[in-house]
Amino acid sequence: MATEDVQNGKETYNYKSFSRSESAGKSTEFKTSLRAGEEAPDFELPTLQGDRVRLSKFRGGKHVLLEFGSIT
Amino acid sequence: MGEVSPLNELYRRYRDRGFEFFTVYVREPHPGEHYGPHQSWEQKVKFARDCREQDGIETLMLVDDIEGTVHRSYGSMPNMVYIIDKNGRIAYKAMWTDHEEITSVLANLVLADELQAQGVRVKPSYTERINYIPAEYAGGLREKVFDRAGPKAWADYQKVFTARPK
Repeated sequence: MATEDVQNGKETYNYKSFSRSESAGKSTEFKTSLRAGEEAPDFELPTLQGDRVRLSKFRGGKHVLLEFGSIT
Repeated sequence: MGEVSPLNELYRRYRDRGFEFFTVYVREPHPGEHYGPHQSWEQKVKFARDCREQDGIETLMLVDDIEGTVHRSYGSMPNMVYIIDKNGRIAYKAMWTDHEEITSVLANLVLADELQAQGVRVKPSYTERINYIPAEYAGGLREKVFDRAGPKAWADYQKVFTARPK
């Protein structure tokens, strides 16, 4: 994670301008990072109401769909 | 306006059949004058609220941290989708959200649950496929995205891809 953190620190993650490298660089990362059948990385994130949701809480109970999105 | 978006429709159909749906708000991929790069947590939460409101999203919205920790651990695509089965394993992942594809995966998980309830053992059949989708924003989506972002976002996009008449 350490190398990735350097490359994708706060400044570059929230880039100011969409660029060719942004558009090209992510598909390989996506394809190689996780595979179907593997365990999904656990996380805990806040809702807009301020509650916290932990993914692993649904294990043994529910299937979970995660769609990632933004305004632009 | 007035219509139910495809994801909302799926959410309504599957939420009582053993599913939770979440929309994870991540960085702005096409930053512009109106919606630029996130500069603070408070701003990111505000943008997430705007996003939920403007798109009429009915699922719960989760807000990733400012460094995009969850977004990056799942592969950093702006509109990717994952379906995680109740054993915590990735049943499906796609670079871009395609509602028809998702529908078939959800239906399969329901079927697996029903079979198991009947005492039928199921086994995972690993599958890979390429799904073809329009390379350009289809319908009014391009206008929606870039009008919301501001002229800079459109200019940056044109610099990357060949300039096309709007």
